[in-house]
Amino acid sequence: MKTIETKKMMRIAVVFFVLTATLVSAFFLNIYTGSIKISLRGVYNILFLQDESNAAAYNIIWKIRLPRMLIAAILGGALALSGYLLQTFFRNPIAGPFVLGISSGAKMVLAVVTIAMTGLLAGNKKSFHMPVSVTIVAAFAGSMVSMLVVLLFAGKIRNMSTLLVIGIMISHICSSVTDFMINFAKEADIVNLTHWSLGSFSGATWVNVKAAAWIVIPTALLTGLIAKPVSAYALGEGYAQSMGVRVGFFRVALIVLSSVLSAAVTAFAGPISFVGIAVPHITRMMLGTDKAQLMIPATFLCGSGFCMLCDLTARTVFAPTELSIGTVTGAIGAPIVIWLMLSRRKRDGGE
Amino acid sequence: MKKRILVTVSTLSTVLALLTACGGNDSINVTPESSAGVASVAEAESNEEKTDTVQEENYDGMLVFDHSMELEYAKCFSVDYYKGGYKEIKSEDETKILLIPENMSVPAQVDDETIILQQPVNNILVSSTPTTSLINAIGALDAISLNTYDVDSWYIDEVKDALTSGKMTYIGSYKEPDYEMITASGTTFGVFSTMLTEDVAEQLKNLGVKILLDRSGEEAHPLARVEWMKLYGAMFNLEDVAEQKVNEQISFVNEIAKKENTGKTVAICYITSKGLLYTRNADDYMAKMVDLAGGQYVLSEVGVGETGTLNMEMEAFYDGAKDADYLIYIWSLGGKPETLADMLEKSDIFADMKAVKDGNVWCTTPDYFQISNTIGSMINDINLMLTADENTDSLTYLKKLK
Repeated sequence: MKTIETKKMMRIAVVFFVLTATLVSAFFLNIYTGSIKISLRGVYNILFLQDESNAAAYNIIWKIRLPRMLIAAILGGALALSGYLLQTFFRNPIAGPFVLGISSGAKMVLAVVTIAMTGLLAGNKKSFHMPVSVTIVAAFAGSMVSMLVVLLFAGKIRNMSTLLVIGIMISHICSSVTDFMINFAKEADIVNLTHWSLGSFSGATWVNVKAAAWIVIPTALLTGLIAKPVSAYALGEGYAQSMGVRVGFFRVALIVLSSVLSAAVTAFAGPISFVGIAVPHITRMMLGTDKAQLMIPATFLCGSGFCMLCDLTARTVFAPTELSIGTVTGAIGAPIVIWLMLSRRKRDGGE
Repeated sequence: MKKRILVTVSTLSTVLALLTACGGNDSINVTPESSAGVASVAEAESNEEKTDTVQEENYDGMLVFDHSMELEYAKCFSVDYYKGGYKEIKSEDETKILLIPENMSVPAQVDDETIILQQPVNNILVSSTPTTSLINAIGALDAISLNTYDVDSWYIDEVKDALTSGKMTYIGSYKEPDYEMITASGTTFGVFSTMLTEDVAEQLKNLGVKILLDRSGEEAHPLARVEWMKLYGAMFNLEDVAEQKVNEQISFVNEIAKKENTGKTVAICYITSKGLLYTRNADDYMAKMVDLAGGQYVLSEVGVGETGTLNMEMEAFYDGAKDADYLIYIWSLGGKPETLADMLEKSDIFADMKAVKDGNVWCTTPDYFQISNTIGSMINDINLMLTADENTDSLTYLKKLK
C-alpha cells in the first residue's frame, strides 16, 4: 500500500518537474528563436545585462519576443484552467470555454461595437481606428454576457447536459447575430473583427501583458483557494453537500471564475480552440488523478507550456508567414490526446 | 492544505510582481526617434511676412508657405510646398508628413503628431498593391525594401524581380507581419492600405514605425486613385514624372468624353467559392469607370451613395442585369474562369442573360486590382470593349470569355 502511495507521489513529482522544465525550456526557446538570428551571448546580454548596444536586437527581445511569450504563457494557462473548471462543472469531457458561447458572445459584442463606432464616429473623421483597448473591453464584456445568460439558466436547470445544450444554443444565437451584422458591413470596417476571430498572440505589448496578468493571476489564485470544494464537487453534488460545500454558491463561483479566465483569453488573443478542452485531459492523464489540488496548478503550467510551444511553431515554421494559433494547437494537441488515450487503454488492458 | 495554498499564493504573487517589473521596459526607448514636428501654421504665416527678402538658402529650419499642389480629382490628400524645398503631405485622416529636404534641418517648435521624413526617402515598408504600383510607375520602387505580399502574389514584373533579387523582402501578411524583420531592417516608415488592423498599427507604433494610410481606395473618382501618384511624386522628389503619368491617364478619359456615348449597358459581378454573388454599388469606382468609358452601369439604382462591393441575391441581380449588353466578370476574386463554360458553371442564371447570349462577356486580367497607375487606360479598355467588333477578344486589361 505504502509502495503504491510512494509511486503516486513520485509520479506527481516527476510530472511537476517535467511541466516546469518544459516551461523553462519553452521560455528560452521563445526568447532565442525567431526570424532574426541573435546569438546566445547577445540574448543573455540583452536579457540580463540590459545591453542596448544593438538597438534592433534589444527591441526584438524586449518589445517583440518577451511580451509575446509571456502573454502566451499567461493566457495558455488561463485557457487550460478555464477548461478544467468547466469540465468539472458540467461533468462532461468536451465542455470547453468556447463550446458555451464565450467566444461567440465576445465576437457578437465586438461586432456591435466595431460597426456602431465606425458608423457613428467615422462620419466626420475618416481616420477612425478602434483602439485595441476598446476591442479588449468589448470582447471581455461579450464573453461575460454569454456566461451571465448561462448562469441564469444554471440557477433553474439542474441537468448538466441540458445546460450544456443551452450554452451551445447561445453560441449559435450569438453567431447568427454577428453574421447578420457582418452582412451589412463594409469589409474595411470589419477587418479588425475578421482578424481577431482567427486568434493570435502576435502584436502583444507590455500593456497587454500587464492587463492580462492582473486579470488572470488573481483569478487563478482564487481558483486555487477553492481546490478542495472542486475536488468534492467532482465526486457529485450530494458528496459535496455532505462535505459542507454550499453547492448553489459554489456553482456560481465555478462559472464566474472559468468565465473570467476564458474571457481574458478571448479579449487579448481572440478565440483559441482546442487548448481548453485538451490540456485538462493531457494533464489528468499525466498525473493519473483528478484531484483539484494537483490539477489546478498542473493544468495551468501545462497550458502555459503548451501555448508557448504552439506559438513558437506558429511564428517560426513558415516565417515570415505566420500560422494562426488555432491551426497549431489543433494540429499538435489532437494527436497528443489520441496517443495518450490509446496508451492508457493499452495500459488498462484494452486493445 | 493551508501550507499548499500559501505556497501557491506566494508563487503566483511573485510571478505577478515580476511581470509588473518587466512591464517597466515599456517605457524604454532604444530606437532613435526621428520624431520632431512641424512648426505651426501661425508661425509659418508670421515667418512668411519676414522672409520675402530672405535668400533660398536661408530657409533652413523655417516653414514659409509657398504654394499647394494642384489636384484635379483627389480629395483625400493635399501637398503644401514651403520655401527651401520643405513639403507637407496631409491626409484626410489628419495624418501629416513633413518632408525635410536633403541637408536641411527639422524646423523648430514642431508638432509631435507630425511624421518627419528626411529626404531622400528610402527603406520603407509598403503594404498595399495599388500603392506599390503607383511608386513603381514613377520609378521609385527601389525605395521600398519591405512588402507584405509574396512573390507569387504579384503580377507586376518589376516587383517580382525586386523580390527575387532580394532588393525587396516579403515580411509576411499585413495581418501578422514579422515584427522582427521590420525592426532588424531599420525601417521607420510604412504605407498601408485601409485594411491595416488596429493591433498591427499599435505594435508598429510601439516599434517606432510611423504609418501613412493610402486612402486612394476611398476616392470617389476613378482618376483620383491615379492622382495619388502625385503624393508619392512629392515624397520621392519625382513630381514631374508623376504629373506626366497622371496626365497621360487623364487624356484617355478626355478623348473618350469627346466621343458620343455608346448607350450600352454593363453589369459587373463575380461569384465566390461559397456561391455568393457580388456586384458593385452604384457609386463604386468601377461603376463610374463604365460611365466614363461611354457606357452605362446597369445597376445604377443599387447601393446609391455607396462604394465597394455588394453581396446581392441571385434573383435580384438577374432581374437587374439580365438585359445588360455587356457583363464584366471579376476574374481574380471570382474563381478565375478561363472560358465562358467555366463561368456558366457557377450559376444557371448567367445562361439567360443578354450579354451571355450575345457573346459579350469579358473578364478582368489578373493584374486589374494590383495596378492603380493605369486606370485611365483601363477605362479606355472598357470603351474599346463597348465599341469592338466581334473578332476582338483581348484587350490590355480585359479578356473575352468564349
